[in-house]
Amino acid sequence: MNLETIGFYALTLLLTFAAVMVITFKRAIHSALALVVALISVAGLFALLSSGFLAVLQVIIYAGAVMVLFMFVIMIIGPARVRGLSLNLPGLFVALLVGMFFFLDIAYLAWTFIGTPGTDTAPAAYGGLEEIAGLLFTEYLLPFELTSLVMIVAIVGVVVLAKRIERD
Amino acid sequence: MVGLGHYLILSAFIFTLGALGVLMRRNVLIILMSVELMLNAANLALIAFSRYLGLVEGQVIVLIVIVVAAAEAAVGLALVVEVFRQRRSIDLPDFNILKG
Repeated sequence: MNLETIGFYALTLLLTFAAVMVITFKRAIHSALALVVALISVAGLFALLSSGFLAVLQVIIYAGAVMVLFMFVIMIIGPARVRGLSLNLPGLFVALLVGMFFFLDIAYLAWTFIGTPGTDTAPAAYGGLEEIAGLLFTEYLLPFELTSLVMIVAIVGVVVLAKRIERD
Repeated sequence: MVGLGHYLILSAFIFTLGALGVLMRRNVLIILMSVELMLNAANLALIAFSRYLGLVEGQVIVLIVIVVAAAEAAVGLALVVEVFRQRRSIDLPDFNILKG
């Protein structure tokens, strides 16, 4: 058992535990804290897959910026009336059915990969930051520029939505 | 040895947990967090494919997905705040303002 295997299983355990906590905690603030743990373990998995740049981005953007946004909204809203899981049985049944369908569907696909030669070991050569930048600014230049459009639209939209309009 | 299949099964499991969160919870903030979980599961699958096939394109796509997800979270949270101002509640059953 090498270090990579141990790391994978440790991060898997942490991520699964945190994800279950996110959807079962009653209070939003506790869910948000569990989500931070989940996002950081995803960053660890990125690092295991030798994508260090994305691991750093994941921590800065997701675990940093997005979660701070969540915390601020939770603070604005305050300890609102707490409601746990929706307890109507038909809804729960449908949710579990849909969840099982999702999982079995994707897991079957993944299972077919496990014995397949060529998918058990990763190729040794794998591009770093230079190759990402090379692709991003040549072949994927248009999607990259379009994300800036998405961001400006999001910023303007959020300002319009969140600004308190004064009515006389 | 950890292969592509292991990462994909983990990704499927996290995606399923996120979907269950969206379907079972009533608190809109927790539903948004579950959506983030689902996006992260998809990102994990993309990176795993990218690593095991040796194609860097996956990392570029994940970079773009992260940016779009951040924008989505910002707009979603602004909507939650606005509805909370009008309704004094963040429970999904109270969000049926558009219903005629």
